[in-house]
Amino acid sequence: MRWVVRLCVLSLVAMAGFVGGLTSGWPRAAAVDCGNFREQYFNPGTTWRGVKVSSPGMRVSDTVVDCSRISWVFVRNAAGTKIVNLGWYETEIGEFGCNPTAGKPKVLRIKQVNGIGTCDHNTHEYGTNETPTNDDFSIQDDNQDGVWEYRRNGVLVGSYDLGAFTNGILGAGSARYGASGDSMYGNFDGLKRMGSAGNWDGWNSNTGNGDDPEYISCVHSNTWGEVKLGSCP
Amino acid sequence: MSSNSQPHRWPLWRRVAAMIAVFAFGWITSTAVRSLGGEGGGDEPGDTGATVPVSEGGGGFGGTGPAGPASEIPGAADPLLLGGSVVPLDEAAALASYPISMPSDSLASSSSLTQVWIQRETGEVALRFSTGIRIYFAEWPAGKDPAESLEQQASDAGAGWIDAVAGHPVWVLPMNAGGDGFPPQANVTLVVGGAEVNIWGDAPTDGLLRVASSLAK
Repeated sequence: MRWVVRLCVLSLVAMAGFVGGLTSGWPRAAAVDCGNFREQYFNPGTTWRGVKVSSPGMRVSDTVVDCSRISWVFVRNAAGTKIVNLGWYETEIGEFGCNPTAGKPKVLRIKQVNGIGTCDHNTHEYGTNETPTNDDFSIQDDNQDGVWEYRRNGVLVGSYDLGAFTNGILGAGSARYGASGDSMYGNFDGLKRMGSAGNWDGWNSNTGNGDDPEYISCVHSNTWGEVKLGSCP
Repeated sequence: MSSNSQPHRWPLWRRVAAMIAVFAFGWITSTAVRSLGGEGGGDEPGDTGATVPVSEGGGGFGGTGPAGPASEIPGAADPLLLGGSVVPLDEAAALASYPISMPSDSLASSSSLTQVWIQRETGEVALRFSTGIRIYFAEWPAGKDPAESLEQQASDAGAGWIDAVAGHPVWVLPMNAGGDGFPPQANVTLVVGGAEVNIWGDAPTDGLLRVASSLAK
């Protein structure tokens, strides 16, 4: 009987350790050299009033990160001085003016103007049962007033005024820090661009590019790109 | 005699040590489980296999982090406008939907102008000067209030201030106003003649405001 009690006590202690390990912070970021910011992306080559990925959308994953991982759609001006981005991210180190995440992916809504990034801290944090999933993300300036509207799953999640920036070069992609070992997997299926009539049409061309030393941009079709390890089919 | 009939008991320190060891075992086990579940995840195909470097010098396309385009200062041989081309000033003036104002200051003037860029699809124009000054032009949306917009942008960014030259509001951003390297150079923004004018350079903001003033006259 005494051994049964001992066994139960030991099991409870082991369980406590197990749970403690699961719920604790992940003390790895400080020991990791995050290296340079790397990205793999897709773009349709010409300029439009908006970018969208929907039906099925952008893959949202939940992985353990040492530094950061990001998947997003974006529009930038030719000068590179104005950029709007929407997607999701996880970060242990904090960046883009955004705070570190708490072990779950979070919607990333940012913009950059004249070298200053602005992060929306009040974005949706994905729950345990919400990933992996495919979400719709779009950014648009349909009325050409320089105010860009951000939508997730069709719902307006905010807007930013970017002055004269009303149309630009579109893209979708994933990013990480090169030496971190973080996953950079990204899937963007259902890529669309907004034309001058405010209509959404599928990308009519698609080019993959980037500077990551391991991940590659696989163009499956004009409207579907995948960032992955290995080789493209 | 009675002591011989008692079951053997570990000293307290040994029992505590055993508890700690068991706790640590549980902790390490959960860590391993997290690592396997997190990195494998089931949605991340291709964790192994040959890697194929892909790099064609996108220049941080789409990036907003340290490698983002606005955090990089273009070198003398770098393009000023992605997808753009170098053209004579009069050609850019003919193609642009707004007048291209030429500054007249020791930091930037027609005599120090070295390149004119145009991006036909976005309608952006950029001027490069031998002093390192760069000026970007873009069509300002009709009916939009410059003062209101610049104040909103400065407020969103939480950096810089609104000044005025020749009656035009100007958003002034000193180098590193938003943190180390953000922006990597000082820049000022104003709206003149239906165009947003964004002036960058390795110069004090006073100098950039002087260039802005010469444009706005």
